This record gives sequence, structure tokens and C-alpha cells, in this order.
Amino acid sequence: MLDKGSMRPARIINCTKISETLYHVEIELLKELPFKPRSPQFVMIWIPGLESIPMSIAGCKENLIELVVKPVGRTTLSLVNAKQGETIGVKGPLGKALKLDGSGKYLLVAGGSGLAPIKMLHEELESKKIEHTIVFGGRSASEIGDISGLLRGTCSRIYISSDDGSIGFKGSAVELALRLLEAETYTKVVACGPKPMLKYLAKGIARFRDVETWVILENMVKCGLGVCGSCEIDGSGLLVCRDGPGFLLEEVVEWLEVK
Amino acid sequence: MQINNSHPNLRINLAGIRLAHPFMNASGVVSSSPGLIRRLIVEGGCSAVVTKSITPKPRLGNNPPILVKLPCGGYINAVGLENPGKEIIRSIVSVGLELGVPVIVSVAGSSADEYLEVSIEAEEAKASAVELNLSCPHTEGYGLVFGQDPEATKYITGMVSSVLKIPVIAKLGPSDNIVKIAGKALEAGAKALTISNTIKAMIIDVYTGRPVLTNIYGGLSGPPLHPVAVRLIYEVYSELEPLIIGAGGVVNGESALEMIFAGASAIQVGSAIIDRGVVVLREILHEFEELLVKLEISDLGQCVGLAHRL
Repeated sequence: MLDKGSMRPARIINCTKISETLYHVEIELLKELPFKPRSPQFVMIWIPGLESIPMSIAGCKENLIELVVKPVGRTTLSLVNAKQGETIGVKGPLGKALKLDGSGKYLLVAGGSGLAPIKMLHEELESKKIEHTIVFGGRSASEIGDISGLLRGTCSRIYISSDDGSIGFKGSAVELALRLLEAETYTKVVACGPKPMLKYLAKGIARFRDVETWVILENMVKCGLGVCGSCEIDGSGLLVCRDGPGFLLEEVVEWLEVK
Repeated sequence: MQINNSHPNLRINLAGIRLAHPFMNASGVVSSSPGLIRRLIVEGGCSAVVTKSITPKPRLGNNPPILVKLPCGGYINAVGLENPGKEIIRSIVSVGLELGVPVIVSVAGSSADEYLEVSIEAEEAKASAVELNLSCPHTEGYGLVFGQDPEATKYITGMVSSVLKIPVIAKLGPSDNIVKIAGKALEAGAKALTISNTIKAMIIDVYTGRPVLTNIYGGLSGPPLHPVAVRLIYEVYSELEPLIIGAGGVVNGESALEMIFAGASAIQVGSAIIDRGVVVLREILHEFEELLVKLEISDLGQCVGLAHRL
């Protein structure tokens, strides 16, 4: 019997460029997943002939899974340049799902390919009719592209920021998120993006004591099943692949170097 | 000696290392850092912990895929001896010293000198024993190349045993020559044997025709390995009656006791940790204890190698 640790055959069925740096990739699984994935769970995507890499699940409907890919290396480049119908392998869903409260108001903050688990979380919150705000930031309008087309819903507002001010709020996604926290009441913040962004968030959010903050980490994941230790958060014994990739900010704040 | 029927005596003396019960982790599974070793002790309740195999210098290991669950219930892995190098040993052993749990340092190398270098570091760091990984099947030039050769096994084990004061354990993998290899390791000074390691294996993806592991070859572990490990332990015990730590596909009390009956005195758990987390060690211990009560076995020592005496 196949389980989450098994390699499942899958086909790339669509790849759309959504901004200068991001691609939306849709994958059809030829054998169904053992359970429905939830944010911020991830899969290991194996490109035969190359290696396998961890990718957050950005959406899932029956046998289709969606990814948001930022091509940076050989394997991610090959993923976005793959021919339609190309066969790959998928291992997962891996990691832990976030527990969602039925009430409250969420602030979701994403930078770059950190959009993937935030998009998935947005869809879960929409299906539960939980009010939430999404902040997505990039360097400029070209990095933002057409992301709002991916984030449709009735319980959410979307705010955009750009470092150069070419679209939306001029500044970072974190600056915008902190302003929103000053102006409105949120019960939970969930953020995903590059480490410097999360570090900046950790510093800025310290003064909002009543807000529960979760950060979704990206780290080098190799086995994906909590064996090899490659993704350990320095010295903590916490494994991104098994204990995460979502962590309460308090658990990882030292690693983000803010203390 | 019957102590108390509801609590069988599970204590064992493994070449001078006193263990509260027979269950420890297998090398390589969540054991590469002080933080992970702490979790094995605190959450898993291991009676001793075995580190990931350590080489003198850090090794990056293979590129993924390095671990895949198989439809038959086991795993295939080719981690490739990724480890932080011998510098990590002191901080790992200090966790065991702090928590009062013996640390066995698993040692790998590409030559006898490298095995010795890491073993000396382990002894100086106050490790309780070293386990020589003479059977890693997925890293060329390491492990298997020595462990399948009785003379190389004797040479490496002998070199380390002649220098170290702490017990040397030789970890041997599946082989049809296991009795001879085990005999050479013991002759050279090994105080105990860990039997078995994973067995060299591979898987091919039929949708693309390619081997799945980047390394092509890996090691098969988990339940499919269990009857092989039981056979190896049985064969070695029947000829040599050494102290044996059984490893290979133990997932519950029964599969553990089977190894004890074959001749093992202690048990290492690997793949079951991948499936159920480190807490599985506590679960297996609990099941094992209940099974002994059910079978009216009051002392673990009574039933080591029982299958040979019936």
C-alpha cells in the first residue's frame, strides 16, 4: 500500500507564468494521495534524472495539486520548463497541518514563493468562512504580476506591497502587515517568505502581545520524513519536515536571530 | 529468578553497559545532533542512544530522493552517511551524560585509520561504546566494502579494539558468510555484534524507467527485512553465542521478542520511528513488557536465544 512516504507517479498538466519570478504549476496525480493535504503541508517533487525538492502545496482538488514555483536552481527550472504531460514523482503530503480556529480573524503575510502555503490556507479559510486579510509583497509590480487572480474569495481582502512603490503600498509586506495590525484586531498571523522577511516580522510583531504568530519555514529538506536531520532548526531538535514547516514564532525566534 | 509477575525484569548488561530495558534507536534515524538525541531519550525513552554514523570530516551525503516508503511496508534509503564529522561527538555525548543514558557512537570510515580516529574521539568524549558501521550499503568505499570481507572486518575491529577501553560493537549486515564474519569480529575483540544493517536494494520507477534513488542503490529496512535479520541472528547465536543487538524491522513487542528468542539481548528500532515517531520506542517497550507477562517470562535474560534450547 502506498502512503505519504511513497513515490507516486504524476504528470505536469499546466504551467503558467504569474509574475516575473513566479509560476503556477498544476500536477495530476496518477495515484491518489493517502489523505487530503492541508496548509502548510508540502510534497517532495522528483524530476527523474534530477533530484527531488520540497514544494509547498498551494492547492489541491481531487487528483490535482497546485504549486507556486520560483525557479532558482536546476530542478525548479526544469519543473517550470517541463513539457505538458511529463511524468514526475510526488512524495507526500508531508509535515503538519495548522490547526484552524473556527473563529477570529487571520492576517496572512506572504513574500515570493511563500505565497504557496498562504494560498492554500486562504482557500481553507474561505471554505470555513473565516475572515482574513492577505498581504503579498514583492520588489516591484513585475514581481507581483497577476497573483490576485489566484486568490479569489468572499471572506478576504488582498493588499499588495512593493519595495519601489510601483504597485500598492510602498514598502515591504511586513511593514504593511504591521500597519494593519495597528489599525485592526487580528487573532492570528501566519507568514511565509524568505528568512530576512520573517526575521523582520518577528522584531516588529513583538509589541502585539495578543496575536498568535505562526511562521512557515523553508529549509533544506532531504528525506522529508524526519530521519536524516538535514532540516533541523539549528540545535533545537525541531525538524522542519516533521515538526513543521509551520511553527509558533516563539519556537523558532532564536533561529530567526532576533533575541 | 522471579521478581514480580506484573513487571518482568528487563534490565540487561551489555558488555558492561547497564541498560534499563532492551530498546534503543538504530543508528541514522534522528540521531545526528544533540537536539535529536535529546528527543530520543526524553520522548522515546531509549535505554541507550546510537548516533548517526560519524566520519572524521563532515559529509554532505547523497542528493534526494534518499528515502522512499515501499508498497511492501519497508523503506529504501540512501542517505549517504551525511554527518557533521567527529567534532559533533562531544556535544552529543554530553546530552547522554546529562540525562544518564549511555551513548553509543556509530563510527564509519573509508579506512581503518578513519575508524580509529573517530573511535578515539568517542572514547575521549566519554561515550559508553562505539558501534563500527561495517555494513552501510549505499556509500561507495565505506561500510559494506569492509563488512563483507572477513579479513577487513577483523583488521578494522582489531585495530579499534586494541586501542579503546570502552566496548567495541561491530555492526554487520546481511551476508551468507555472516557466521565467519561475526567470528572474525569477535576474535578481533568486538564485545558485541549489531545484527543486521539494511540490505542493498534498488527500486525503479516504471513510469519513467529510471532508478528512483539518486544514488541508484540504497538499503532496504523495515518489516521486509525482519525475517532476514532473525535468520542472521539465529545463525550467529547458534554457532558463537555472542552478545547481539538485534536490528531490522522491529515494529512491535512480538517482532522484538522474536529477535530475543533468536539470540539478541537488546533491540534497535529504525523504520518504525519513521512511521510513528520516536514515541514508538515507548509503545514497543510497553507491548514487549505485556507480552512477557502474558508468556509468564519474568526475566529477559531467561529467554535470550530461547529458540535454540527448545
